[in-house]
Amino acid sequence: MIAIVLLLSSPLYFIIQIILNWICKFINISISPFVGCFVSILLGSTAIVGYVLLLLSDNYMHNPLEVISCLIFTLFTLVGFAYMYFATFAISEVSLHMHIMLMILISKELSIEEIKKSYNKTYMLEERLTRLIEIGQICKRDNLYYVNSKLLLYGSRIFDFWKTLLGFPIKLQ
Amino acid sequence: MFTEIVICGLFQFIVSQIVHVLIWRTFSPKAYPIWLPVIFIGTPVAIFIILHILVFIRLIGLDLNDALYLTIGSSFIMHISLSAMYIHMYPGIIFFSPSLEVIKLLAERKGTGLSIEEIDLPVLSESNTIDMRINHLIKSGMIAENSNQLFLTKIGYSVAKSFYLYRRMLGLPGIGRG
Repeated sequence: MIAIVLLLSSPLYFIIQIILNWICKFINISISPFVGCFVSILLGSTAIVGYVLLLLSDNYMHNPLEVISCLIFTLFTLVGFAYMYFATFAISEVSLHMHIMLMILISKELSIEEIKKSYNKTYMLEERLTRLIEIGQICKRDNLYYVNSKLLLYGSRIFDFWKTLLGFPIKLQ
Repeated sequence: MFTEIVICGLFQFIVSQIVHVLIWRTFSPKAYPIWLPVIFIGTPVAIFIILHILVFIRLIGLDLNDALYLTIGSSFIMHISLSAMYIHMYPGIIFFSPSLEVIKLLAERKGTGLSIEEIDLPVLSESNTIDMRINHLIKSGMIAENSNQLFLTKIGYSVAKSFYLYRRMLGLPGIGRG
């Protein structure tokens, strides 16, 4: 039962995100797409963990080790599915590959020059800086950008460690 | 039962990671979208087959009952979830994320900020962004070029249309901000 509920987590996030986005549109509140996705994952995961805790309620006293193991199983599996959902959404929002494909889809045919004109270095940098400000990772004061939170910085350290483990350089050459 | 599931799931994931690192250290395959799923699905399947062989030739005494298969099945779901997360993360590991590079550059300044003009990242150069991505998309058969015009192939059209519809259902513009 728990495994089935976990398998249904991604459709649940999707439904919550649809409802959340349409509610925000209806009451005229601007919400960053990433924040919307994150909130949907948080709400969906809370509901699932709550449901699992309810299913386990009879075993709290009799078999605490099993309850802890079940929660670890739920959290590991849920983190995997939540990340997958987040990554799929991120592909649609920030992936350059997908952006190029969607640009071609909308205009049927496109030359490389036209893509470069509307998707240049300055545009890419500005978009990323705006997004990093929206999610609270950097801040802007007197036209200068500063690091505001070290969360993504620590995340990048994990990626650098994994690059080294797999034999890739950590600096772009 | 759940203790066994967690241990079994983590075992499958760790062994698959070791196989992945060993292969990448021997020769780094370019076709990672094929190699990674093969490794992360193939390794537990291989463990499952080896386990059965060992039981049948009586090298280990194990009762192959329904409860055991339920444990293996549930642990496989956990393993697949963790593996899918890792496979989704992988392009972020091997390619350089411009957002992470911006954060690293700003962190190096230690309190003194940078203006947009001073943020000069090689990762955002034309050759590392548009040109590289277009080449990837052509090589993977998602787009094709004819008389300097790019157009979607059948498979590329299906993929792009799916993402377009997904975004529209979420109430977002068909194309992200990039």
